[in-house]
Amino acid sequence: MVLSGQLSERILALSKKEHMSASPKNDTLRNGIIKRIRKEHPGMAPGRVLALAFAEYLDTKDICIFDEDIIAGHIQKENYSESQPVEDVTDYSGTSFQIGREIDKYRETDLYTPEGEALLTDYMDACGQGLFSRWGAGHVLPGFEHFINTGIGELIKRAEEHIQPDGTGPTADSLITLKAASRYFLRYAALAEERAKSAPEKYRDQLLRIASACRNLSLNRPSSFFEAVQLLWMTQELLVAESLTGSLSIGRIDQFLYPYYMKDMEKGDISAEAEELIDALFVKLGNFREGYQNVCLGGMTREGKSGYNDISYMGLRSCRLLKKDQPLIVVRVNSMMPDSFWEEVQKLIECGMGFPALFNDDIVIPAKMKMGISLEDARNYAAVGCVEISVGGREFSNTESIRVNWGKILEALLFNGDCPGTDKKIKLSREYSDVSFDTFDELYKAYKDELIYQTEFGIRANDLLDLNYGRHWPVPFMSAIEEGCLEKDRDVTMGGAVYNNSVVNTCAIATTVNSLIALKEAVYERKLATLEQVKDALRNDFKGEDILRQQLLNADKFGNGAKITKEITKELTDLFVSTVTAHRGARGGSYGCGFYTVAHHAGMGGATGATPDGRHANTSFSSSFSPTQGSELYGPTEVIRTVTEVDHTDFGNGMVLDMKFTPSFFLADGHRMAFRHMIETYFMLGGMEIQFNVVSRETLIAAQEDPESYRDLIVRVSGFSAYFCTLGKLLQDEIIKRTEYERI
Amino acid sequence: MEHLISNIQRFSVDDGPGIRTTVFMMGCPLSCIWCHNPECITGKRKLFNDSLKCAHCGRCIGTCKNGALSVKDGDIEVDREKCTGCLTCVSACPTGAMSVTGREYTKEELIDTLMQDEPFFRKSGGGVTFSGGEPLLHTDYLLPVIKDLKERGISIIFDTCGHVPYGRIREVLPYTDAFLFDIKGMDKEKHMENTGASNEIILENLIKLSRDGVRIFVRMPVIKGANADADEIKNAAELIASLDNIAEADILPYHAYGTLKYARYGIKMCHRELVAPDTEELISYRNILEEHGIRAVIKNL
Ligand code: SF4
Ligand code: SF4
Repeated sequence: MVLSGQLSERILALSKKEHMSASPKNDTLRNGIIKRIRKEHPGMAPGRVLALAFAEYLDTKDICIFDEDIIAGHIQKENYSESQPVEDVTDYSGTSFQIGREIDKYRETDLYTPEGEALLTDYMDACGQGLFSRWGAGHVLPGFEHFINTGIGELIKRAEEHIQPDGTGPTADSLITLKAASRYFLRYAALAEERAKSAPEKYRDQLLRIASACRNLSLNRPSSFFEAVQLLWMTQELLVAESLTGSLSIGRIDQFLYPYYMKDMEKGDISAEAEELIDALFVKLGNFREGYQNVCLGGMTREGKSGYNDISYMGLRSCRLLKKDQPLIVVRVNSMMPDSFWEEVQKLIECGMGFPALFNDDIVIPAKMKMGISLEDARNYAAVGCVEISVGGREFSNTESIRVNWGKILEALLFNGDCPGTDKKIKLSREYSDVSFDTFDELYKAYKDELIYQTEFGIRANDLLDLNYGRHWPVPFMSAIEEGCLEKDRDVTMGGAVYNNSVVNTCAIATTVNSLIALKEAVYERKLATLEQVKDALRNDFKGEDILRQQLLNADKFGNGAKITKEITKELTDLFVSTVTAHRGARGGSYGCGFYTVAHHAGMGGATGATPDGRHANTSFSSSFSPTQGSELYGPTEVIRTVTEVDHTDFGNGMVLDMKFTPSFFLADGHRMAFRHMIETYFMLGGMEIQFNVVSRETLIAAQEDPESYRDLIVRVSGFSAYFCTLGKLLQDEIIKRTEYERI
Repeated sequence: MEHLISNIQRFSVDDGPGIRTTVFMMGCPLSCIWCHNPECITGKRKLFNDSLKCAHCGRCIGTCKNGALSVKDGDIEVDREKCTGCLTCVSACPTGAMSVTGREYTKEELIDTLMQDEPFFRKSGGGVTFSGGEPLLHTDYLLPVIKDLKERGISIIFDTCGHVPYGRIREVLPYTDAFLFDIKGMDKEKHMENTGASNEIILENLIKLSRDGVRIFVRMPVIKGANADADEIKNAAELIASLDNIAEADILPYHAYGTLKYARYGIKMCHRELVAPDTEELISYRNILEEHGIRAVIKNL
């Protein structure tokens, strides 16, 4: 298909307009309604309170349509606290805010035991020390596809069939939200009609079209591609109105919109219109600032046929032209991918926005099947948030519920539970003050013991929090559009989905591996310092210990090719995976692992002192499953060989390998080809995911002017990698100049 | 002669087709004023001080019996005139900041390293490239290596300056899939001035090689201030057009990346100002080659 290279005037206008139009009223409205209903009906089930509040909110909130709108719906500014009501407590922040509130509520439930409370309190402390992070909700691929293919009217019918005779329970709550959603469409229909009266002539037809679409969608399935897109966006707006908890992701728009597109195409070519509609959808997603909304393109169908279609191409194009950081784009790669699609993918990579992340179908599908998902459903996976893999509308696994900080565990072990620089303690599996760690094996074994112990502790707390969460903050609307919930009369947070999995994520893999190796080499083999001397240096953040620090930095590192790095990486990863996957989650499903860090490597690194790999206190850890900055001595192929030592089908919640390139790399056709072959080899060797950071010319210039802020920036020039800031003005200029080269 | 390797560069994408691993052998019969691997010219180990790693402890200074080390602007400076390459300072340095470039590999070690990227070679049609310096100065060392690699089905390329007895080229020929062969100038005197040697043997060898049936990628570095000249390109084009087995001619505009190494290794740089020809000029060179029916590519490294 031929893609147009430009955005329409209308799209450009909308793109500018959207984020300026927040309604201050909506900011506090929802929270107020929830509080009022709770007060008026003490003892009312939380699901009913939230369903009624959702309905009242939709009936009374401000809504807005612009003259230029191509589809209706506008998520106006809404903050975190109002979507998860704070009740009377206002001084919580961050993770402890989450858990503190959860523990308060836990005391009111049938689940309560004093041991449970002690467990959760310890866990909250450990989170405060940066050992774990917790995110109670969201992080899901809601049932967009199911909703579009079923329609509100049909769902209402099903809810009525399965409702309990006394009119209570999750399905009854869902029914309230479905009816409210139906009315919400009618509000938009009326507003569009109203607006059409005063709008300039050229916008009138589209406003009337929106009105008729909203009327139809208030009861029925979409009757056209246009209506399908309209419903898709409105669904996101409804989900956010219910619960803005982060990473409400969209998933495979190219798959669920395609049948509507093809049906319209039988009547005439709508490809140009479809392109603009995808632009309009992306503008809406892009102007909603607060959610890691992920869109997945390509891959295969449930039946295993090629999933690359016209809409997949349009998605790549919209992302490239709109240049917004939302939606996040994931592309699924398999052997059926056409070369022309790859060309579009590469163009987008070269833009330097960090999109798309590439996923390997050959690995993700078996990884999902290991978590108990059927082959057909596994083929239908998409990404949540950044890179968590999940099956839209069928799997609920709250993909960010817990992350374990491997680096903090090492710190706690070395200091017998102390966290240098603070007066806080971490509870360990045993007392270590009497252990001198005379051999590396002793130290390494103790680390493995603690890794298991802390992970199991985290899982116990996570399970209890998950059991508790749905009792207080169910999501009746999200449940209404998830497959299976209405029939089971069970909320999606309480095991109502088809697959009710759980996950544990990781942080500081390379930092930890490097630290262990640095101790092995510097302390136990070369005896450059004693363990006590290293610990002293760590306590003082290497002050006055430049030589020791450099010696530790010189040790072998994850990604530099040494055998020992691969062995330890594999052993720790396998150990972690087997520990986690031995458990069943609170919602009844499997546990999977995630080896990616979003931005937690910075946050958790910030909460951890200096580490034996030479890393300074409170600085960032290595990110995801990638090497630390500057240790990729032998370039990308060696990094790939290290990373693929581990079986990626064990990463049921996803993983990330980050790589950096300078834009000039892509000027030569030969380089672009080599780039593709590098990725294909990575996938052939069993790699699950890879994403690229193409350093922009602007970044290079900024780094030249402000070297302090860009000390970590590495560029690869003529075969060697170097810190950009150390290169001297002449070379820096040359590298910057090369990024301007046209292809000649 | 020692067979020293200065660097083994993986994911090389400019040294022949596909993803390759390039082995840089030390020692070269030429000494081009624009050389971007100046540490490979002499064939001797080179002392290298990495100021990023240096903890400024000063231990190295005291150990040098030749008084070659001193502190200048806070960094260690090596007086290359005085340094005998005894490497005492390297073993004294606790941080690895003082190091040596130039290492010997056994055949097994080398092959083991080269095979690390085999899956990438296969996928991309790449392989191993021997460069330098001048790899053909080391045929006695490299022959068993390339025989072994050939048996494993690995593609082999030699990147040569051409200034070697033809016998050496003939030795590696049966195991070599292609040559990257430099033409650094057609004018004898200018060539002498720029590279320290005449181009007679080089051009003779190129003609001979073109009759031996192996694919040749002609590589033409072009440097303003040294050899960039339309007439030179025209003369080269005429020669290339008369030859068989030329896969393509690559125009390599000068880049300054190597200048960093001159400082690090304490090698004197050419006093002339060297720059890359501008884009229009490069295109005009490409046009000249294409007018002679030669497939020509401008390589922007
Ligand atoms: S290599 Fe020997 S002579 Fe040269 S600086 Fe070091 S100690 Fe001195
Ligand atoms: S011994 Fe090493 S670290 Fe110390 S001053 Fe010399 S080069 Fe620097």
